[in-house]
Amino acid sequence: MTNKNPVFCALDTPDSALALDLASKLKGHVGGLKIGLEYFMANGSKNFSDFSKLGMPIFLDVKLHDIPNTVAGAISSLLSLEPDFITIHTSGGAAMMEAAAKAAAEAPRKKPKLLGVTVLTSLDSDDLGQLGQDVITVRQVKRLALLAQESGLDGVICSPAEVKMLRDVCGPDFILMVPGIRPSWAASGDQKRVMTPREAVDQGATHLVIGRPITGADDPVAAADLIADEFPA
Amino acid sequence: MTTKVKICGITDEAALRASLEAGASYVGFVFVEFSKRYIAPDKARTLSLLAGNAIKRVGLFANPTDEEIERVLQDVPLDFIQLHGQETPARSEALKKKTNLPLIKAFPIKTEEDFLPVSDYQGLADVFLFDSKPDEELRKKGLGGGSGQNFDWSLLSQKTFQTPWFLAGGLSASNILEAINISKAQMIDVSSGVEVERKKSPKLIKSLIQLVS
Repeated sequence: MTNKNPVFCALDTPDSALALDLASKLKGHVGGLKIGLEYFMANGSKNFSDFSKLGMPIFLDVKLHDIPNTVAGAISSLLSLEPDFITIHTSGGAAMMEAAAKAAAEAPRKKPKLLGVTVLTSLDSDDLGQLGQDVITVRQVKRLALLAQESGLDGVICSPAEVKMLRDVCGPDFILMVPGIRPSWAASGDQKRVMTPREAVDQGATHLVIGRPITGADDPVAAADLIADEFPA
Repeated sequence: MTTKVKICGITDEAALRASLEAGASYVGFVFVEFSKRYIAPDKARTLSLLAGNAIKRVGLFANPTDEEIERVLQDVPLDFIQLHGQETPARSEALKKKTNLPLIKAFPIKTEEDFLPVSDYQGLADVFLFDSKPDEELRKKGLGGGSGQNFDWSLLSQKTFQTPWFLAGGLSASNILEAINISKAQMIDVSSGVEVERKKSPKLIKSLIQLVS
């Protein structure tokens, strides 16, 4: 854990003007921006340089999943956007992840870090059973994270509950990007039931993805600052 | 068919991990303060967050006041509450509403007549739990269960319930298959049976779950 702000704000909107406005305001108040499928499907790489110009780290959460050649090609195509992070599905297999890592390594300027998606947090053991994967969820997460590491990925996306386990098995240098975090002050009723940013970092998360507690706040900048305050200076 | 397993009275991370990795469906945290398996809410919070949504997290209470249950729920993410005292149907319903969580109601069983109250909770409790009747001293304190004793499993063999139910009470690797065979339980709850010197054993947790899977 460095003393950099670990928070990536999720700009989950198809509205590029809104996203850019929010991003400009948040500069210096969050550690980076997460641009996901909702934005990217609506806007593609159009106006993407506006985000790059802000000079903030960008996490392109496009969750690629296809045959190795296609995923490698997609990574190559994304290199011109110079994102700091790109996500791919680990269930695409070792060959796919290796091909993606190879494509990323050929970046002319900035090499993006590749993060693997293991088991979608919306799936439990029963759902996996329906898919013919008769496995215990935590074991599958561990297995896919280790496979990602062996295949040359830089880290994985994982749920708050998985942070400690993955930190233990994947060692200190593996990136653990963690969504599903709510700041303690946003915690009321049900929301207190999830891990706070400080708790996640204490357990070994390197980066946190936080959306609505920032983007939905009356004052997103103040919200982002409050979150940053949770970390020791 | 795979039997669903609840490991009850978790107090440390090793036991939680073993339960997760072996594929237990439920873990229980005991918030009854005089229980030897009591876990403080702050510690339970940490373990509960580690469990995440990979397993159902049950909080055990015995005749809790509103304040007691609120204090726990304020910090600890739970998926079920389990009532292990003499909560009436009305009180159980109130607590279920208050917590907005599904309810497991425990019934201490020794003889046929101990099943009489069960029907009053039909449609109210989401899950029943049949445990052995504890000795008088524990019962006076309001706690049924965790005693490590069996009851006559054949009492269950001819019964059908419209509510899913756990078999509990002194279950361990040495008797679990027989207990399932006689009672026809599809869900089991173990605690003392996976302990060595009153402490949960990751090895026993794993071997017991393997046995019934």
